[in-house]
Amino acid sequence: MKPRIIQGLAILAWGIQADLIWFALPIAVILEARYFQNRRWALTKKDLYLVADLTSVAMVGMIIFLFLNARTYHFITTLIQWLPILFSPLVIVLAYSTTEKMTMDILIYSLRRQKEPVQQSWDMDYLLLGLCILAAGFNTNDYSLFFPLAAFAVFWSLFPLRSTRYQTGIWILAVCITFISAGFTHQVIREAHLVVKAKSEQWIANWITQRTDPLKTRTALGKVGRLKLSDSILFRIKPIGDQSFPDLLHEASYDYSSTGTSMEWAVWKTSFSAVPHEDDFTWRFSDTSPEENAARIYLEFSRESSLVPVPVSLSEIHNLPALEVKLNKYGAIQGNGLVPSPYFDIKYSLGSPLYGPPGEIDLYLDEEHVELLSRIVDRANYPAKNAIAFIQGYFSDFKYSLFQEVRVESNPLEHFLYSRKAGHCEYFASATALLLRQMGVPSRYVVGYSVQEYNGALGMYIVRQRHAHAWAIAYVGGDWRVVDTTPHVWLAEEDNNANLLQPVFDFFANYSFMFRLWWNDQKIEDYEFELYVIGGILVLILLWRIATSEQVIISDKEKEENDSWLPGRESPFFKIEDYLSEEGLKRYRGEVLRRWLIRIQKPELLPLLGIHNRWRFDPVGVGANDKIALNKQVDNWILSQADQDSSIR
Amino acid sequence: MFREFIFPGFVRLSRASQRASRRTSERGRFIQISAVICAAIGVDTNLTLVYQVFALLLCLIIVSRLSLRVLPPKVSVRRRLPKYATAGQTFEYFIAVSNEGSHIERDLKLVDNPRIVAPDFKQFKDEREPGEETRNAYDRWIGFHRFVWLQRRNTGIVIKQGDVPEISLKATADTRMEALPLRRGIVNFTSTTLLSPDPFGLNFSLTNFNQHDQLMVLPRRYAVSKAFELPGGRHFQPGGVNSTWSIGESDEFVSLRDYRDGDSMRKVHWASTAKRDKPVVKEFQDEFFVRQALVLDTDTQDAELLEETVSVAASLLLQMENTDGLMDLVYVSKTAQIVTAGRGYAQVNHQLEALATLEKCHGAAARLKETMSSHRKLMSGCILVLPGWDESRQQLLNSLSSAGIPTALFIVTADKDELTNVPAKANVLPIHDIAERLANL
Repeated sequence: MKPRIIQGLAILAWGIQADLIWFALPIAVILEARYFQNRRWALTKKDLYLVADLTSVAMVGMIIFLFLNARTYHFITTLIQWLPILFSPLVIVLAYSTTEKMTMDILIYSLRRQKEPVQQSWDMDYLLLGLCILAAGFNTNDYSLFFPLAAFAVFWSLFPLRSTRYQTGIWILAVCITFISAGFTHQVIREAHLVVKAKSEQWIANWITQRTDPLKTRTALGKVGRLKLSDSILFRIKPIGDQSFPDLLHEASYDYSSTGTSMEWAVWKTSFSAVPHEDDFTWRFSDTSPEENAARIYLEFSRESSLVPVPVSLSEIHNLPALEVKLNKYGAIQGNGLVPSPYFDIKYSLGSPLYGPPGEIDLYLDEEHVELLSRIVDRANYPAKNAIAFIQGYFSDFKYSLFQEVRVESNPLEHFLYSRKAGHCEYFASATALLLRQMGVPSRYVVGYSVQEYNGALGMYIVRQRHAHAWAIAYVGGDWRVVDTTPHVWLAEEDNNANLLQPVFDFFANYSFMFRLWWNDQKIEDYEFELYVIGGILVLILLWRIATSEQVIISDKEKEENDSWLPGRESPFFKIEDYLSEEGLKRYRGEVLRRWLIRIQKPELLPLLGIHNRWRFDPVGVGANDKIALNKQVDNWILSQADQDSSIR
Repeated sequence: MFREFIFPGFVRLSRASQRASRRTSERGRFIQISAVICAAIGVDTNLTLVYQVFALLLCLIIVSRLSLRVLPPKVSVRRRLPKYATAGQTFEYFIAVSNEGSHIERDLKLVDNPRIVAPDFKQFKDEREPGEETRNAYDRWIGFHRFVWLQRRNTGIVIKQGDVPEISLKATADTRMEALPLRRGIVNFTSTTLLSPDPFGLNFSLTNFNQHDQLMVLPRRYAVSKAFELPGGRHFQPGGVNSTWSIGESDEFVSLRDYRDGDSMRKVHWASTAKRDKPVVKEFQDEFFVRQALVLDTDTQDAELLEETVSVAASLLLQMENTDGLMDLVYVSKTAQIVTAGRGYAQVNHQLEALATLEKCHGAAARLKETMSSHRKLMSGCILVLPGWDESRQQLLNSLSSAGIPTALFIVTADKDELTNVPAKANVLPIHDIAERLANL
């Protein structure tokens, strides 16, 4: 027997949790209504295949829809939250059909070809219950109610299936033990996960270069082999007005350098301040100046918290849905609680208002660096105003290289400056920043992107992962100036290293991007008519199928057999039989009473049986006195047995 | 090489999977799979609460396993097998379960264990599962399905799990078991396993009862057309049924009767005539009946062909059971064997038993020819059942024909087109078409 109501309740609970109550309500009502009506459709395997195929198509459609509208985990969580809706047509059709269980071939296409009938089958009601619990588990808001509700659903559905071998009390005890231990276990799992997560994050952070960390960056200095960045497109920029756009897109800058096998840049002051905003979409960084430029950056953030790449002369960000946007004195803009959205708009002017004024640390050099750089120029022995020209001259005969032949164990910067004289942008930027300090100019190390590739068809700049760049900034004449000493060939070199198939990938990437833009602009209201037509056609098909399908009326509960007339059924001896049956000494079907009493070793009852048989079968019958006597004897016997039982216990 | 290396693993894997499938019920497996899925999905406890469901299912499984020790069943079991079963035909038998404990026993299940005969590597290498070519490349390469198929066939029987009815105290209840023999021959039973569930019905505790038994599985039989008539007529059998092997003209004495005109004087029973004072004669009756032989050749390497040939022989033997004659089954195992049935000799079941345990024999046709040359005097007709057609079989047929024994020829073949020089009167039976051909003889 299937547990009633539980499916409906589970679906409602999921609907409330997932905020899909208007989908959940009709499904729950339809599923529960089957117990109140006895009409079933005799559907063939083919019909079920059709419904399953429809479910698959809906699933694929859903995946495409979500893929285009959400990223990474948003995609998976939303898909799982919608699973009960996707499977509900199949469950409902099975519920109203004469097929009780779904064989695997209905869902798995390859099994349909198999000659032998598929044995393995699932009860869809339980599957839907499982899906509801799973889907509801993806909403972490209602933390406290989920576990008891899920446990209740599981135990309720297990109750009718329990083994009759045990008394219900034992079952309840087992349930209580399970519930308490599971409550304890899930808390242990949660704690353990938090500990492991904290540890592993720390561990990973120490090992992996994280460009997006606003507080520190680890360079690839000294690493051996080819430094290869992918061709994949990170984002696109559409300048509003003319085509011009700043060459460099800044992400974060750092002022504190450390020495070692791989150089690390960090920030001295880690504090962020919140950026003022008018609403959840518009963030102001400085007062608007008259000659303001604007652009739209098509970047969809895949994480809840991320750095926002912008020109350094930014004054305002618009259309960036986030809970808060923070800025540090090094110009790193961090969005927290970012909601996926296809683009954001920026306004920018001149200057570099994002960078705070220089401090002592912007001139800091540790001794190892001082010693290393004094071979090029004496500290503070050179006029600061010529520093930039000197440095650019110094690096003019250096070469750009993505390939490092040997591993440099001790000091990669030294190797770069004095022996190899070639490297990638991180070498140049680090060395430039340090040289500037050596010459008394405050400097910082900046990471971001170079904006070079203009796509005429899209009318947009394209920024790829390999356009990631690093440079130095110098504080000269009361403002921060970009000092990019990486040879200009670096972009050409990067382009040469591009994948041969890049145009093909770009073609698809651009079209999928344009489709997403178009898709994003579509509103369901614009298609109301079409949707009503399709829905109407589907309903008509459904009605036609229902009307033409074979139907069966399932019979009501089997009517209890009428007690047939039994001669002498008022004989008290039947009480003894009932009593012994309850004690587990049941009489076999068709077993004669006498033989039964001998089998269960109750010979003392044989005289009573004699009277009983006469009562029932003797045409003359038994006298009233005998009847009274038999009644008494039977009662006495049962009482004595009950006494014995209780004394044994 | 690789398969030889992993082959021993197949045996262990199939044992382990059988054990696991017995220990866990269907819904238990559903819970287990769900727990694994929840564990995989719920890894990130910040993202989902599914880890709580995982904890619940895990504890459910553990509690259910532990609670198996609470109420162990106290019963004894006894198996009652029928005398014969037929390959490919489901049959029922009963296992009596007696309650010896102090509780009513409910919700128990029984699994009967035939002796599992795992194939050896040579058999695994040589034989092909029917329909193996439709499996995917990986399955074909690994060959586990072939192993499972061979093991099932070697074991020879598939037995469904039986539900034990409620057994009250000191009572015995019969559990109905349903089994399907897959091949002819002897099937050995080793033990019976009792499954007792936990309160949730997710897992079972297993109790083994050793009880060794044997079951004779007769070959599969086909319906043979009623119109089929055995070749050859009745023959005078000198000496009647009981002395069929005696030699000479010894008519059977039946009774005495009064003399009728024309009776030969030689038949007068003088002693009775003297006693009754009127002529009395002895009455004799000659025994005329059919004695036929079914000659079965078992010389083939193709296992399926051999089975079908034996089945054809069994079907024909059964068809003859009603005829009023003697039937000799002639075949070669280590030596030539003749099993005679009918008219007070053995019954057709004995012949079927002989067929059930028959194995292939190389060079059978030549030895059958030898045997039949000494036996043919007694024959009034002969049925030849052959797996294929070749020179030695042609000679066997020729020797029978030259002795004047009418012969019906049945050739069972895997490929009809391969046969050459087949006599026109032969009944050719392609193995997938036997039932129809025999029904329309």
